[in-house]
Amino acid sequence: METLQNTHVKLLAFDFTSLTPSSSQPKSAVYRRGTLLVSRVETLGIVTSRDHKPDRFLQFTIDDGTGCIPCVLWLNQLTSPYHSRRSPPDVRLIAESAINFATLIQIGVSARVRGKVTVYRGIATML
Amino acid sequence: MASASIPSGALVLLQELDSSSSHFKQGASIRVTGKLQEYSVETAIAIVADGGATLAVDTQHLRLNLRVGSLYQFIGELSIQPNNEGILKARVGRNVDGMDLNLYQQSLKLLRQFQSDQISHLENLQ
Repeated sequence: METLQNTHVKLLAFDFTSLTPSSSQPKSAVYRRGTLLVSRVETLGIVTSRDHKPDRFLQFTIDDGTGCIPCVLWLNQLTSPYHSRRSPPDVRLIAESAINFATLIQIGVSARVRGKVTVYRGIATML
Repeated sequence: MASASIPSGALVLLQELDSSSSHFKQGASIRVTGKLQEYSVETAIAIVADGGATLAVDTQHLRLNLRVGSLYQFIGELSIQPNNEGILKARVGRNVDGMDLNLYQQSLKLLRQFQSDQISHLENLQ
């Protein structure tokens, strides 16, 4: 089984939307066409939707002309239990950079996005 | 997830967008690029041109400072008028001044080639 789990694999949206969840591998891994195992993806496109919940998340869509990729940028680092295990200065830095990215993500801008793939309600989503 | 229902705007060149094109249909989601030829503040209708072809774009939902002579890219849904002319109801727009349209056409050709190769490869696997 070929695996590219430790790198951000550049995928077009039509390829991304055809990813299938992996059953045997870790939860965060998905298959590209049943053969290549990936968990991190990079893509480039235009932001076509934006739903901002301050201090929680920014949900947006990237359209590259071959399809749309739903993305989530978490903004809850200062309140989530997951981050409470890390050092507070690190968490503050992560939270600040997430807020900066959230202001850059506006409808109509061209954005290059990197993230982990998860399957949310049956749809591959980039986090 | 609400955002998943937003259709992707297919990459179309203005020259390709005539009544025989598969994209030339009511409600088709497309992305077009062209130079702004005319713009009416009253109607918010913009005319974009590329390679001798033009398209009317309804920009009423955009907050964009449009300048005649600049290059723009719009994503939206095509509306076919009773006179069989298309007008793009834009939901996304951006200024793309400086973009090399020849290079854009070449990369679009390569992208389409890649996509059709990948799809046929996938069909062979099944």
